Parts: sequence; structure tokens; C-alpha cells
Amino acid sequence: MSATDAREAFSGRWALVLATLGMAVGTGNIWRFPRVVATNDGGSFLIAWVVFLLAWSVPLMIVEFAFGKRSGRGTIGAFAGLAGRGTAWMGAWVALTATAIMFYYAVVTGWCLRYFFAAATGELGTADPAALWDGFAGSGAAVATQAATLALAFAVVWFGVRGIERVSVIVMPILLLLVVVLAVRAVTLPGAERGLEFLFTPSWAALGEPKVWLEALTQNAWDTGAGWGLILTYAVYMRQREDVPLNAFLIGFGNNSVSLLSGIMVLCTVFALNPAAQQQIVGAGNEGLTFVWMPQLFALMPGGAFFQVLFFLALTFAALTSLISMLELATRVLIDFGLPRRRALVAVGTIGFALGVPSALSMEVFRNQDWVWSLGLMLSGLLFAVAAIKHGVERLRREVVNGPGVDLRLGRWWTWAIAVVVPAEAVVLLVWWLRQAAAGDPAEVWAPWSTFNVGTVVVQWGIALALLLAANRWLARRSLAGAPGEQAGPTAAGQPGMLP
Amino acid sequence: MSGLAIAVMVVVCGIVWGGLATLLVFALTRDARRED
Repeated sequence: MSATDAREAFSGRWALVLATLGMAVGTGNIWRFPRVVATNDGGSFLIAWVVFLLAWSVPLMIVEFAFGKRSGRGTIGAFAGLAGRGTAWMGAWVALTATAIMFYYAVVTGWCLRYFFAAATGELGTADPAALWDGFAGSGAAVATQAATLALAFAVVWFGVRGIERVSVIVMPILLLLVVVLAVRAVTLPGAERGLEFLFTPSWAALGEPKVWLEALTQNAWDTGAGWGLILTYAVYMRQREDVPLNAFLIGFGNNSVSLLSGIMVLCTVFALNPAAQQQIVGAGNEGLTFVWMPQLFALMPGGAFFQVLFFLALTFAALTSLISMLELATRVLIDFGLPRRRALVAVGTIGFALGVPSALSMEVFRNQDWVWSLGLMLSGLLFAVAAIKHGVERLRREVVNGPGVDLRLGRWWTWAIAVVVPAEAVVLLVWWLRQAAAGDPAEVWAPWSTFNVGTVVVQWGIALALLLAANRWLARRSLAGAPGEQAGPTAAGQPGMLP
Repeated sequence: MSGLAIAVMVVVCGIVWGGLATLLVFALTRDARRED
């Protein structure tokens, strides 16, 4: 590791919070949240969604912050160092899942970039949106935009934490402003109140539906970034006297604030401009809603061409800052293995591009990978809880979470949340999603080649887990090989050291 | 909008945005105190 890496740290709380918020706010907030809230009974979903912010996202974010801050290493080294060498494979699973998502997330970011340029040049105003999307998705042009966005993220991570911080402190305030402007525009459209009514009206019957609660939990698991290993990675670069709980709450509430604004923005736009087609629009899937329907809605809006540019710029910024964090996660793991940052990044970028190309060229591959590895995040969340339990949740709370620099002391509720609630939620989510897949394709439940079934998950997870378990000892040795204070780890006295 | 929808809007937005605003003020206050 170079001397430069050894000095890497975020300059303070707000740099850390903005970078981590950039990680958390992604396409899941802007295109998935409005669609899921609309298809799960609006207000009922929102109530469950607020509950799980506190019962899944924030507790797991705190574990991630604590692991990164305490260990000063990426996911594998953090697990092996804090929960025992036998858990290196768990940290590797977390890294593998986030990295597998990075492969196809670069494709998604490329789509956003393509549509931003299409909106900015006026192409989107003259083209048939459905034809434009059909001609673009799965084509060589999607590979080109995938490469372009990876190159952008690569350029940021090349400069380490300083690069991530500089980009985050510029891009995130702009992104937040864009979302607010778009939400205000949507709310001021004639008829927008129908969208607000739809969004916020609960049904008592729906509150008793397990599906609404499980979808709300899933949304929190996917769009807050909790349990992905990305917060842990950024926490490696925290100053040792940086607070954990308050920053975790800030990011959780900040992320869900953006989701709520996005829900208002999209649903008010839909209900104001084309209420007759609202079922069709929210049922069109993430890509259908964003790339086919939104351009049609903006075409009906006064000043729509301008607001369309802002919308796709916001989407591109959201996706890009999340992609940057995924690239950094894999790079951090390789740095722990002893590679210099830039060599590690070249390896991650090259492999990331090559393994993302199939998803760029085939929507079937993209959907399969999205299914398999998004579900993998639920296992990642479970493994974080297991690792915290092995380390001692109460010990983690006393020594790290409520340790040096704490601004908001955490009570024992968090210990119970991690030891009992989060593991139970993760198991229920895994079982529910696998049952959904089995019910959706009963003829081919175990077929490994199906896009969305149990078999494809079992085969891909099985291969990955077998390899990681077989390599556990090697992973633990390599990830712990460096001196334990290279980033922010313990000092010679065994206590966390101060970063310069 | 119905009264029920307004009530849920106030509660949900109050918790999420109000919570965020409170946390921001608290963090800024702590930072200012630390600088002193």
C-alpha cells in the first residue's frame, strides 16, 4: 500500500455523509420507489416503509459504519478481523454480491446517460420513446454507454477518497436540488392532487397484507444501501473521532427523503398528465416507466423538454455516485490483498466491464443477474447481523458505536434489532422471494437457465458459496496480511488510531 | 384530498422530512460546539 493510501480519509462529517448519501441514492429511489408504492396501495406501503427504515436500514447501516471504522479494512478483512477468520467467506460474499451488481449497474447508468444526452439534444422530443428504447436496449450502443459510465466512475476512484469526496460535494447538492425542483414542478401541475391522494391514502385491509410489508422491507433493503458493504467501505475512511449513529440516521432519513420526493414527483406527473393510463404506466416496470412513459409524460407538460433534461440528469447523477461506491468497494478489497490502488482499480474496471457486457447486450441476462444478486443482498444483510453477533453486538455498541466521537448515544434497542429483528427479517424475505419465484414459474422451478426462478439462484449462489468457502483460509490470510493501521485501524495500543 | 390522505401525508412526511431536518440541526449544533 502506498503512503498516499495510508493517509486517505474523508475531510469531515459532511464529506462522509454526502459521499455515503451518493452511494445510497440511486435509481432505486427514483424509478423503483414510485412504481412499488403505486402498486402496493400507496399510503399503506408508506407506513410499513417508515417502520422498516428503523427496523432494517438504520440498524444495518450502523453495523457497517462500526465494522469499517473499527477494522480499517474492506468487507473481507473487516469480517475476518472482527468476527473471526472463519467468517472471511461472509465478507467475500458481501463483496461478490455488490460487485456482481456493479457489473450490470454500469449498464443501467449507461442507459441514464444515453437518455440524458437524448433529452439535452432534443432527440427525445422528436423520437418515438418506445422505438428509441427498443432500438437501444441490448444493442452495441448500450455497451458504449456502459463503458462511458464505467470510465467516469473509474476516473473518480482513480484519485481515491479525495476524488470521491470532491465529486460527492459537488454532485449531491445538485442532485438534491434537481429532485426538489422536479417535485415542486409536479405538485404544481393541474390535477397533481390526485397523485398525492393516491400516494398517501392508506387502506386498512392492505395494512394487514403481508405482501405490502414485505415489499416495504424489500424497498428498504434495496434502495438504502444497508447491508451492501458499501457503507463499510466508505467508513474505512472515517476519521476515528467521527460519530457513527448520527451519521447513519442522517443517511437513512436523507435517502428516504429523496425516495419520498421521487414518489411525489413521478405520481403527481402521471396523475396530472395521463390519469387514464396510470395502471399501465406504473405496471410497465422500471425501464418501461422511466425510458418509455416518462418522455411521453414530459411531452405533455408545459416546459417539459427542460424538465426532462433535469430528470435524466438527476437519474444519471444518482446512478453514477452509486456506481462509484461499488467500484471503490471491489478496489478496497484488492488494496487489502496488497495491490496498489491504481492497479487494483484497473483490474476491477477491466473485469467489471467485461462481465457487464452480457447484461448490456441482453435484457434476459440483465434481468437474471438483477434477480440473482439483488436477492443476494438479503443474504448479505443476514451475514452482517451474524458477523456482528459473533463479534458481540453489545460489545460493538459500547466500544465502537458509542465510542470516540459519538454524538448520539445508541440504546440497547439496537442490540436487539441486530441480534433478533434483522436476522428474522432477512430469513422471511429470502423465503418469500424464493416462493414468489417458484409460484411465478411452477413448471421450471429448478431449471438453472430460467431468468427468474429458484434454480438459477441455487446454481449461481451455490457455485459462488462453494468457491468462497473453499478459499476462506486464503481470503482471511490475504485480507489481514497488511499492517492493521494502514487506513484507520487500531494503533499499537490496540485502540483505534487517529487518522491525520 | 380526503382527510385520511392528508393525515397520512402529514405523518409520513413529518417523520421522514421532519426527522431529517431535526438530525441536520442536531449535527450542525454538535459540529459548532466541537469547533468552540
